[in-house]
Amino acid sequence: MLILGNTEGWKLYGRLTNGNFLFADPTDRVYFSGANFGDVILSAQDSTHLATSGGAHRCTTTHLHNTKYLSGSTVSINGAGSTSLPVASSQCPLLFVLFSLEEIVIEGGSFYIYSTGDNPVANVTFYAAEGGVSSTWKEINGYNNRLTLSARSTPATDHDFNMACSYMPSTGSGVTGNIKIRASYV
Amino acid sequence: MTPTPEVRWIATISDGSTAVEHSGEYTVRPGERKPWVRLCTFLAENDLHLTSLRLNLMGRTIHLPRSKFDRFDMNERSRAPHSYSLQYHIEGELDNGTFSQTQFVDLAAHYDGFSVHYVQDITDGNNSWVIVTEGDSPLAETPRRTEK
Repeated sequence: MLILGNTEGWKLYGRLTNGNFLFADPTDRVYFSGANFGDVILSAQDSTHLATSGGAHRCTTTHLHNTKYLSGSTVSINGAGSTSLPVASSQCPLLFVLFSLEEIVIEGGSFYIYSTGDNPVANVTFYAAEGGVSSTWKEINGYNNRLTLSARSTPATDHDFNMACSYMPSTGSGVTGNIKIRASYV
Repeated sequence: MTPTPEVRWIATISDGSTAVEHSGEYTVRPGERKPWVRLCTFLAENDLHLTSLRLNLMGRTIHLPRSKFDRFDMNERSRAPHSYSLQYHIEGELDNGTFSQTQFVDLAAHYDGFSVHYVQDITDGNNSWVIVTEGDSPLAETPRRTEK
């Protein structure tokens, strides 16, 4: 690795239903389940978790917020009835923070899931919406379906990207994929 | 002791002086804007522009298009950009249980109607790209050169 002289990076947090955050270790996974951790998913996920790379449950007492796709513009949050998007930032299960030692502005970015080579993941439908911004879900499976993230024009050392996600495997469970988030800044 | 960064931009200003990232006025200052943005502000406030821009990467220098390019008998055919910009790209990948990150620096020379970008991977330095784009709206663009 080069010695850059600049100090930006991403951090990922799981946002718990009690309002606290769980910092995701670099080897953690985002884990979607049925009603409880590890349960088979019938349509879309009913719970969202962080798990270790070995599959151990990390948010054992209080889980992450769950944002379940209902229709193109509606969501069930933590099992409640239908609500229109956008999902409030405070109820998004995933918080990506682009941090910097210096103040930066962000031109925009993108967010998507992928298999090898930025291709779509087989046997899954995956929706995402930017918290407080997106008024409709976007299916984000593969680079060509990426969600465009909003710009941040006010200089700051930390910029938050709150993401609501919904996972719908066609095989019930066991589908794994990768997440990519990009930003352009100065 | 803080090691000397292995990636830095070097800019020649229209008054003949040189600005170097991580040196003099253009060191990293926590809580302030990046050196490139501070250079753009300085140029605008002093009615100056850049005449050349280059990237130094581990001792190698990559030159962007410039005015008065007097090498290889190309002086009459080379075209100077009206301005330059610089930005960074960062990718975070949660890939099969590992969250990895890659950063890129993107230097651009802007012409009427198109721009030439040099994008360098600055995480491991293995890849770079030259890209021609249309319709750019740079985040931090230097003042435009007025003379031909």
